[in-house]
Amino acid sequence: MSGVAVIGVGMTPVSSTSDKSLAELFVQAAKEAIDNAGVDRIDAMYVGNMMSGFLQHQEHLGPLMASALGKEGVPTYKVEAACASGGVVMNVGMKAVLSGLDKIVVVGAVEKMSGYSTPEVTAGLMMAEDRLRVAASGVTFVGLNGMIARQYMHRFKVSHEIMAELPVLCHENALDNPNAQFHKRITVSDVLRSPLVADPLRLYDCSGMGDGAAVAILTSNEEARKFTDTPVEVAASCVASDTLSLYQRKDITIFEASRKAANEAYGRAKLAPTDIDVLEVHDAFSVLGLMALEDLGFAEKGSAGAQLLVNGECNRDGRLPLNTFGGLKARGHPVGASGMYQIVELTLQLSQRAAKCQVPDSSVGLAQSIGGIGSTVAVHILRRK
Amino acid sequence: MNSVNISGVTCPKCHWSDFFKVKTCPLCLTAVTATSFPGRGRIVTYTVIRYPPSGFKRKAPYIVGIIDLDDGPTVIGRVNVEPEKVDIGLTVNFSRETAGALEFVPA
Repeated sequence: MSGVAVIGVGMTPVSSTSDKSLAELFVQAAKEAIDNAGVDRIDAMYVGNMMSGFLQHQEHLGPLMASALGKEGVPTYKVEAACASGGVVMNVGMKAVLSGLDKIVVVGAVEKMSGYSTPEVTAGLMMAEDRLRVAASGVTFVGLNGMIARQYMHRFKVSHEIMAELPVLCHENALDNPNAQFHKRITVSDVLRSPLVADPLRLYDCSGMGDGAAVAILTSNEEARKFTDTPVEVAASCVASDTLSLYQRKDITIFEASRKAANEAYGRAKLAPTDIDVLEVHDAFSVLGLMALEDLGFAEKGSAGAQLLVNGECNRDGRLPLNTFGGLKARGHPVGASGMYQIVELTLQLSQRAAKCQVPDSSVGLAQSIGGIGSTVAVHILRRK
Repeated sequence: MNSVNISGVTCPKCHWSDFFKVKTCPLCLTAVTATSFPGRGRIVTYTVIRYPPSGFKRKAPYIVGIIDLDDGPTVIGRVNVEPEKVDIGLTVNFSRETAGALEFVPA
């Protein structure tokens, strides 16, 4: 077998006022993806999610989603990797197709965060870190990222103004994305004047809480042309891990898992960072977007903001279009589903179906999905066939 | 002010150590031995928590930092100081352990 292709995609808008259940969200995205691919049967279904057990008291999402979709009987699997659940479920589904055992596979991810208090969701997100070693201190997930931001700004002399360019860019791109959670233009001074959440991070440095589901249909490269004229090949799908806890790292301004997964992905795809036309990174917090640009090989350590953001290089009409649908910050971050949103958005970009978010002639895209505090990273490189 | 020692574990074979009391070294799987570290160290980084998680019984704001012990491992714990007086590099002393969390004060 020569490889795996995406032949259909679907997603729900990201919303904090959704009245849909987990299953309703997933089914909406899955039906759209199945219709888009034009498949009449599926061989297996992989569902990514992080917090349904904690927030909805619901597990066993495989058969829940399969039966809600009228596909009871197919083998189902649930995949959890904290905020990288969406990126990792894509990797698992890709391997199923690559094995030759499953011909047509549904990979999707869903999260429902609305309707819960901020302290409840804050406690849920901390499940991504070490419960026994770290949570006892009362640190939150935003707080851990605040510690990274503090160290990053201190060591590399990066101002908050420069870091704030990332949420500003994401909000600008989301204006053209009908599925985005936030349709609001913001400025650097809006970011700097927003309330502190966990110093130095302010409200507009942080992604919000939202509901959403995103689904892709995968098959082999050989079969793909039977279903679509615009298949998008999975040129590489790589996952790496690191210590579960931030305090156990030698250098917290680098995510080694990100570097490792990216280097492996470039090797497998036989591509270099200079070959990437469109980039989707896990900007759950502004500092993570800057670190991603560095860890993935697009900027020198500590200089992503100065080298790429302040001069517009990452705008949709720039040299390296970034988070072209708004990223986690403005499209929204239904945590376990965000990695699949990236795959769906890249597929739309590369098959020239991104509407007002389209980057002309883009043919290679990279997506980076981070689980926990850099403890899991999934990197995908997609390529137009 | 003198610091209180922090009890922890160390690996007799590879000298890995942690404040969290495991039974086996995660690096070489040797049985660890109990030890204690002088509680003096420096703040590597910190944050001010303004929105605590549900179930955490402490009023915000409070400071959590990563502290590099002068003669021991790197640990995470709360630093009991006003937000405007904390900084990277500040020397702190361990004061006590509360509900599994290490607490520090400026030296």
